[in-house]
Amino acid sequence: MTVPKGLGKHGYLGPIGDDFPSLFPLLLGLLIFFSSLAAAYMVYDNKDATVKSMRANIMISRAVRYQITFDKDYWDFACNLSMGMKLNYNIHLAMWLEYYTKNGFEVVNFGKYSQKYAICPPVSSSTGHQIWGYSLPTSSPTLSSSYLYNQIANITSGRHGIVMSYPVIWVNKTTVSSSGMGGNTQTYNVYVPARLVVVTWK
Amino acid sequence: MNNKAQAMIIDALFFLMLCGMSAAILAWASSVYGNQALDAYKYLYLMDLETGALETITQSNYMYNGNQLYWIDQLGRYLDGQFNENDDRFKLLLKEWNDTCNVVGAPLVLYVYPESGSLGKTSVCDSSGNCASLQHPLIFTCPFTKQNTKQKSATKTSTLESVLDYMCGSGGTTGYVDLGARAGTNYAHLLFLNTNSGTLSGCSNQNTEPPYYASENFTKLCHDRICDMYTKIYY
Repeated sequence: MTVPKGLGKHGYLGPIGDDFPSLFPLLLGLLIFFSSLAAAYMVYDNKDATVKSMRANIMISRAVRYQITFDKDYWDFACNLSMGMKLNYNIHLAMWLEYYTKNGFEVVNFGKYSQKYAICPPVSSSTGHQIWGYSLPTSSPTLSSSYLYNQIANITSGRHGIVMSYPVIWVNKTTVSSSGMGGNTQTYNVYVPARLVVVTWK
Repeated sequence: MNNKAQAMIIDALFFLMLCGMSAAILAWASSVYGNQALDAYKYLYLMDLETGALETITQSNYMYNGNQLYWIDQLGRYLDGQFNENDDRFKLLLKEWNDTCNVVGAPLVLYVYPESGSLGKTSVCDSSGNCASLQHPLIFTCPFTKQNTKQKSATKTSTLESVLDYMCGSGGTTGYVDLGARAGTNYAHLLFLNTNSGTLSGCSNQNTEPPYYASENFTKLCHDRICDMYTKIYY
């Protein structure tokens, strides 16, 4: 019968038992190694996502601002253009037009009481006044931009959201009645300073 | 375990620790590179802001007494002396610039250099009746706030006044005429530099400004003269 080597020697526990204490630094080393790798990847991934999101934001805004004057037709074109863009990475997009009033920023509405808001993706007609899963206030034709900012903050939370605004012109059709005999009315295209808000996130 | 196996385990541990340190350095490098990339895109964004502001203000128009007035045309008429600072058309000129400032949302300054011969307008007066001869470019400024301007070596808070004080020296605010601070308007400022020989009167710290990013030069027709203009954003 073969006796295991070391058996019978004082303090000898066995092949595994003798190595057991050395397992602790070994496991600790492995833990440090993989934790460092994971942390390094997280830092790289966060920065990469932010850079890509910002790059996409600027690229999309430049393509959309090929024409700086936004009327209803050009807004529809710009929305379709931006939604159809193929980027090398998966980026989500939302944008809207807003202009400054004494009550703060409001979303441009191309139809005064028909609520044709300049929002992209557009308001779904099948689900009523919904935008990105949230209901729009319907009590008045005006929509405060702060409402959209709050919704977009909820949507982009933790997803490297980038919000940038660009000065553009909103073509506001204004009808003016001429005073005096006849009372003729004339429609003007008033170019109002506005801004295009582009939001990108991963 | 024999000594050879123990040595191998210790070597492996050291190797793993070195790999961990390398990963930490990689993480730091990624962070630095990412920040540099973000800075580069921020400058692109500033350029888009300034170009957009110039295009917006030079193409904007508004209604006045049933007539459609273009901002750039009204600017030229003002330089021709067709109306003065008390006229409603001047206030609308400032209001439109104020609206542009609101949509830009950054500490933007517009410099306008009119060309093509002498100007019909030779002097400007503020609301207190202090007048100065018009020598230098028009300066349209957006109101600066503490949140959107970073000052370099300025003792005061980041406001329009502190930027001008930085340029003119503390207390040396006599180098310009502020036409925007008129009762009842509360609009963004329009400044004229009061100078005769190219130096800023009362400005002891001239030719120094806080850090800014300047746009390209735009050449536009303002009524019957050429106007060169560019913008600066103080960051």
